[in-house]
Amino acid sequence: MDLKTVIVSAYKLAEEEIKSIEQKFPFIKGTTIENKIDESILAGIIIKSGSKIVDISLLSKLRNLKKFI
Amino acid sequence: MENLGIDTKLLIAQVVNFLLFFFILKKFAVGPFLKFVKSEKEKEKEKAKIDEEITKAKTDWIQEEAKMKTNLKKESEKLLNQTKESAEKNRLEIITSAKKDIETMKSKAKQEIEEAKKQLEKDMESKMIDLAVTIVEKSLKNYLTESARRELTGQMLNNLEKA
Repeated sequence: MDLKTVIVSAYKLAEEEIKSIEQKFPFIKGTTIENKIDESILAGIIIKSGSKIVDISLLSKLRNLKKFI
Repeated sequence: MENLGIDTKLLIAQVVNFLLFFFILKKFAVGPFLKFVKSEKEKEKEKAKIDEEITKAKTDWIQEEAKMKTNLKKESEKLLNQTKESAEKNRLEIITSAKKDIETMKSKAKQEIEEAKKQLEKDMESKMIDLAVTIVEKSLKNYLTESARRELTGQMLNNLEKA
């Protein structure tokens, strides 16, 4: 059964960008990658693969900054 | 004697008569009268003695009364002074206690005001931060172009690599 990975971004990712992301996050290699667009995250990406979620979006950074202040 | 015109018998009779008269007068008139006078004198003396005792008793009573009045006055003054002192002491204690209570209340109120002020400042600060972040979010959402988003995403991924 194929594992599915969703990469949320604020714009449509190019193939090179997806490949670059795969290199940085090897656990998504070999999975079916789907790119979902959500402008509310402003910039950066959110990777959802199985039970793993990696949030490196600008929105989450702003919210973390708010908590830090 | 007869030549001189003096009747001896008559003289003797007059002498006897006089002596009888003297004896009877002394026995029945002068004696009781003197006794009565003596008795009256004794009564007068007794009365004077009683009067003197009464006067003395009256004087003693007046002196005793004056002494009692003086003592009573002294006691009253002493009691009054004690009452005044006690009242003054109570008044001072009440004032001290009231001042202490007021100070405690003031201090508590001041502390509460300070805490409320700090809480308000904290709330304001939190709201300001929320507002600032919301404004930044909205601004970025409206003004970030796709190329800017792409560039930012690239930088974030590169930074992640460095980290």
